[in-house]
Amino acid sequence: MKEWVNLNRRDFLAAFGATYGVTACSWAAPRSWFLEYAGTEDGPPREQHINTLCSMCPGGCGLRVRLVHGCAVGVRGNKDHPINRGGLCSRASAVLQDVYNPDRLRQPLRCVGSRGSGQWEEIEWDAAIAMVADKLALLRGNGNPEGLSVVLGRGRGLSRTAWRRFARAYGTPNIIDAHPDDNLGVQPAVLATQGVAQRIGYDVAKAGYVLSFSSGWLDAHWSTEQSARVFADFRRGRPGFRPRWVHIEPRHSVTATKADEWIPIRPGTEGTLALGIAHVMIREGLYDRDFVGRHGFGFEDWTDRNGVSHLGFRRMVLQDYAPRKVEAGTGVVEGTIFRLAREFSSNGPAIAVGYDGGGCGAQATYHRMAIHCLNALAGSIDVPGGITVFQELTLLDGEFDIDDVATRGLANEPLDGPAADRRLGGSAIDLLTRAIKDRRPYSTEALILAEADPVFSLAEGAAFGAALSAVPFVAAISGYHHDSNRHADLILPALHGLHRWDFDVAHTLKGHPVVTVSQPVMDPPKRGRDAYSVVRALANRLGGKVGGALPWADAESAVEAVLRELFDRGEGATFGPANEESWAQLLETRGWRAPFSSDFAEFKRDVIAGGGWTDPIYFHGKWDRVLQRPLRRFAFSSAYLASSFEAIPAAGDPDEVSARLLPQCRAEPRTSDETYPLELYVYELPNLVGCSSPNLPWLNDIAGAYMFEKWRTWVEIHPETAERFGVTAHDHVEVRTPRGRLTLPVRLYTGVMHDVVAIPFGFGRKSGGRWCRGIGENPADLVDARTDPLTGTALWTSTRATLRKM
Amino acid sequence: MSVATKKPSPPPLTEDAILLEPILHTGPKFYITVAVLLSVIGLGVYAYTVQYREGLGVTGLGRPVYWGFYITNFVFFIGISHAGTLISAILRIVGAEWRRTITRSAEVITVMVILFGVGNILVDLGRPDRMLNVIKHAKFGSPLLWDVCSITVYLTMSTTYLYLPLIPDIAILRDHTNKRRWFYRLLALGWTGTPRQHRILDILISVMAIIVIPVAVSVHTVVSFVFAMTIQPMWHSAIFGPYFVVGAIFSGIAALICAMALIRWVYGLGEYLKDIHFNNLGLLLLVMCFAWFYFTASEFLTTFYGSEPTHMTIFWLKFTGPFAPHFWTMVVTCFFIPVTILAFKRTRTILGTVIASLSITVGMYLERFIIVVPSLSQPRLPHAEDIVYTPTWVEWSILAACFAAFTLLYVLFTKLFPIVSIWEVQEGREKSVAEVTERLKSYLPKSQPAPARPEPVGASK
Amino acid sequence: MAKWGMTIDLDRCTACQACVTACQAENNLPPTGADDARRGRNYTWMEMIPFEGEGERPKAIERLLPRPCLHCDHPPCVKVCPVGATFRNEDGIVGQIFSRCIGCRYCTTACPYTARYFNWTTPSWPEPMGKHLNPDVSVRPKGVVEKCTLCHHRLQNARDHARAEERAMRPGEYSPACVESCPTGAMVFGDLSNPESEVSKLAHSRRAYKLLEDLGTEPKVIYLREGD
Repeated sequence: MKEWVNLNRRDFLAAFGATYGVTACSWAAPRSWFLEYAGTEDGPPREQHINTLCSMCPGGCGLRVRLVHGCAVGVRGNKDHPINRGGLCSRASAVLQDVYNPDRLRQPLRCVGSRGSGQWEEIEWDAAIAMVADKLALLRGNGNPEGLSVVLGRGRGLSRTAWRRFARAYGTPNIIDAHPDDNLGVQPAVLATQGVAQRIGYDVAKAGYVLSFSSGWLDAHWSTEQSARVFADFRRGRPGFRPRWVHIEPRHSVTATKADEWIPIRPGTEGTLALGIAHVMIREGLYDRDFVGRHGFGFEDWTDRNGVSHLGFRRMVLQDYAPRKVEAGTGVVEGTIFRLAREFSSNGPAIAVGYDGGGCGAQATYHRMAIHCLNALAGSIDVPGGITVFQELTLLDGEFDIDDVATRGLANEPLDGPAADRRLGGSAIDLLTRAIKDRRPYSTEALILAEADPVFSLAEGAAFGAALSAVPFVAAISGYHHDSNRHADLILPALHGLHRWDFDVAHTLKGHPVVTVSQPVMDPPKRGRDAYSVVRALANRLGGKVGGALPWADAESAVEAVLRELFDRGEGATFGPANEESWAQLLETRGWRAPFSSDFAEFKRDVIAGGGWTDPIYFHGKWDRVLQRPLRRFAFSSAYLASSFEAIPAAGDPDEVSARLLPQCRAEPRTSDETYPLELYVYELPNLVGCSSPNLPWLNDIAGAYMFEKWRTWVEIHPETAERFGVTAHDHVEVRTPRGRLTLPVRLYTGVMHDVVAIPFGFGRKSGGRWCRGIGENPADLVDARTDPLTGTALWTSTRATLRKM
Repeated sequence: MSVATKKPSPPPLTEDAILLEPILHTGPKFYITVAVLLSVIGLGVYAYTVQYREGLGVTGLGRPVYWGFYITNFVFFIGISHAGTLISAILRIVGAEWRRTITRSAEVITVMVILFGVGNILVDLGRPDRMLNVIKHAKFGSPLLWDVCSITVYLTMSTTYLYLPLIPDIAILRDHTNKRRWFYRLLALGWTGTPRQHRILDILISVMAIIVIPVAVSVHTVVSFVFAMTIQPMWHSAIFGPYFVVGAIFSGIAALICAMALIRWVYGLGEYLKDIHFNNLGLLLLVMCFAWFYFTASEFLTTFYGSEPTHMTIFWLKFTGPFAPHFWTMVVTCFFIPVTILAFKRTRTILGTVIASLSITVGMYLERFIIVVPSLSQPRLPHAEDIVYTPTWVEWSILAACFAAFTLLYVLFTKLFPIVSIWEVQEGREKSVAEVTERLKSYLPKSQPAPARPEPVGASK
Repeated sequence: MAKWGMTIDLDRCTACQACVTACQAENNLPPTGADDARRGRNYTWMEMIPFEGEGERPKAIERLLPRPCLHCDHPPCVKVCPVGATFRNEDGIVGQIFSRCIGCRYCTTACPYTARYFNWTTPSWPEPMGKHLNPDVSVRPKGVVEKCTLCHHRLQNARDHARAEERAMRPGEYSPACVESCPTGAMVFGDLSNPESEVSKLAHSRRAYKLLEDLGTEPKVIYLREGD
């Protein structure tokens, strides 16, 4: 008490300045927020901190929400969470603007008037669910369950599980991912080379050299939080050793800024450069002969069962990817290619990072294969500081009975293309567009958009929008209005992550699985429903075996079932302090048994209170797990592809056939195109990438800060290119491509390659909340997408463009 | 005149009766003028109420240009205010006899315009309701507080300095008119024109004239310190004090010439405000033109030669960048136009000086603007370049209202008091002609034959 | 008294702007929109500043620098305030008394780092967004200047806790929201007057430099250069 009395004037001022004189400000502030929270009626503020999952992006971070009087007023990172270790990215901090967003939908909406007219009326939940259920029951009654398509979006964990199980029980093979890359990353290339269905991680923190190929490691990674943290560890985690990071991209991005060197490259030719580097490594004998010899396949020419000899990686690379040729195609000079190859091979463990995120940066699968082959050449597969393969963890994946209708329905070919069009599995939503339009192989009668906005996020979103209009019934689960649910008959607003029970499986970049539990940190809004209960209500209404697909009464019991599965594994641990990692490493060498108690109740309590569960052990050198189908080898010449081509035709030039199994990245030298002399490069705005909500003013405000830009879409042009078109700073230009035109303000920027125009993706929504509708333009309107021959997805690169000064 | 003749005691004013005309007679033109001015003021008041309610958000200000029109107005008006008191004081001290008809109109400008200088600072405040914090929590380390002090002193002194020579004229009004007699009686302080009163008045005026000069100089120096004391590029300069003072006198004289021409035209005072006054002020203006140019040139040359990057950014903003139109217009209107007009006797007419003055007034406003805004628009750290300060209707309205209100106050003053000092004119007629002849004689060698050669030793005393 | 300061290691920093949003959430910064941006009205106390390369403009961005208020030991803003609404307290924190500020914006123009902001209008949070407001930090009315306070309310809390438990404050007990949220650990916060503290050691390391050092403002936010 004495100390309080002894407050001197300075202290007093400081106190005044810090708590800012509640009295003085409360009259000046338009509403009395203070009274609401710090009021004396309820005594001192009741404060709580609850661990939960961050639902803002697919990163799977742990949040620690601060509640005062039961109201979330702050978030911090969960210090024990293995993915974010107490850190938070910008999206996570903006979660409060999402949960309390004024434009968040609170009640089901039914479209009145013509679809797309934007006229809605609020209806009750039961009526809304009945509407969907009746439609689906009718479809099923007619024996056409495959007429339903479910498009999955940002929702993960329970909602994804629920929809998958529902679709199976209902009988539709059409459960399609709107953001395949977010969830698969470089997975198709990994499948083609390593033959594993799991995703891979880049253990950058321990790497000795990193070569990133248009990979927005710090711009557009699927886990911003982790990518930033391991980057910092890469840089300064080892005193006295500061390894090099070389970034290759048409544009000088944030990653380029933070890298030691930036090498501009023509858009869409990353794999070509990778093979150029491989050429030098092979010719100069700089590759890891031991790894290639022991674990490689198709490096040398090989002979199949029929005795036909096939072109090998080595011969192809030496023939076609001499640095001089590569220079002509990529714009990277010969000397640099030599230097990169030598640096890459002499600073192990070295990692070649292809684009690991979603959307516009995605590279063609052949290019990703080429880049990934560099990792094999450097011997970085499954070594510390190299490539890890995520440990598989599937939850709530148990079998259940389905009825005959479902069995018949599931026998249909999925609408996103028969296997022949997407040899590397996964979803191909771009093919769904075509199928809906052509009504082939069968027509789509109903479509559910589960937290997905493909119209905005796809390169061919406009076409998807047109296809949506052709579907007789569209229902959308979504917290906001957006470009896709504009075409819906019905919008069902799901509860926000901070209001519901949920779980999420994510991985650390070292490959450890992490399960984070999401719990309702505060009372959900009245009449709000979470996605799981919506799907379950739907299933129950359909009844029969469909109703049995989701046996858990509500989201909370479903999460409990998840915990039970984890408990039954008998491995892993609840989150502990950071030093856990070091003793886990110790245990890795001595065998490992879960230290938690045999009591499930205790386990459950610990997991929920601590935030989640993880398996902190990763064994390197388990080649059975790392190199799988079909040969248990790293396939420079894709054995997986060979098996998917069924039989390699005996006729024809064998080299031509077998070349299809090798990364094909031949880049033609730049041709002079009179009509479209430029190339378009679309990149994602950091801070908006993968964000589950577009209507967050804090994020929209900082998205363009790297370019001194705010709240609009601009086009970046190299000053010399601009000069040729008579364009100067602060002009507006019309960017025209074979697909469309946009008028945009110009930023002259030497950080973009000559003859390339770069446009950020992230703004340009045509409907939605007040902070995103009508802000900027969507460059997808310009993209002349090319279809990836191996996955069937549309690629953003390779659009030609021209400029006209306005 | 009929009113005046009714008075029994003092002899009727015959020679200078025209000076009382505006006070005695009010025509429809006056009301029209007042109505027009009031409506402009009304617009400004409305604009300010909008600003008061909504906050400074209704202006074109933003980050990084935190200061704009209001601060420009402040500097500009305080500058104009220099004309009066300073010029009048200097002319009085040096005994320039041609001053007699113009000092009053000059001094009025000072007092009226300084109000708008201060007013603009208040308008610029985000929290005008807390303006008394400046007294309650005064912190004398801040140049803004120096401003508060020196402007307060200056306002008090120049009001006194306006009032003192007004007393005999108020007495004349008291004695010769029936209007507002209580008002004039009160203000005349019992002036009867005795020699003792005249002696005291002369002493007071002389003392005030001497004191007011350093105060006036300090005021504008301190105004410049608001900028010069910060470390912002092209503000942080030792030349700013004298530069601002010179600029102030420069714009002040220009404003004075405009005001005089207006009075001359409206009230038909051609006999009092003659060509010679305009000619003399024109010459003074010409001198100030060169002085201003000298300071401007040294400021920019010093910056250019030193070539410090942060300063050069601002320099190029003004020379070739977005503020180049303002800058070059300023150079033309503050130097080339007035010099061309004023340098030649043939063009140094009333019309000529008025044109030159108007040109300078515009130019000096621009000068203040490009002192305030460019330095702010390019902060040292990188920032977005496309945020441009463009004043909104609120700022324009308040600027217009300031001019209108100043004019209105000026007009009202002429309606209450003679704008040309009657007693000083009389005094000049009665005494000074003789005095000046005497003085002139004293300057010259005696007309009787002098010794053929001066004594060599006596020359060095 | 402690002298609070921080170092920002640009080699660790990835310019992710997590600190920017964390600060906005902690300190109750209002939402702004496109219109505010066009007029220079949107702001964040912590700002990501891109530095272009040397030479003729425009250049590729070469450095990305998170910039809070630098809490100068010789703050140019404090000198010019006519009412003492901004001050440097014994802890070295440059504070702002919102209830005294008259809104003359002299400090905003005097700050060479443009790290001070003005409330052009009454901040507003469309219903129900106001619910997220941090009860520890007041909402600033229109017409006053505001700035980074190094989350001074957190210092108050930490001190109160320490006092209640009758002990000295522990290192790390008080750190601003930006430092706490930083995913990379690029920001280290602590007592610069204690030569043993991590922040002190970093502040005296070979890579340390201050922003616009030649102005003599003696910032207590110290950057660590990229590279060895």
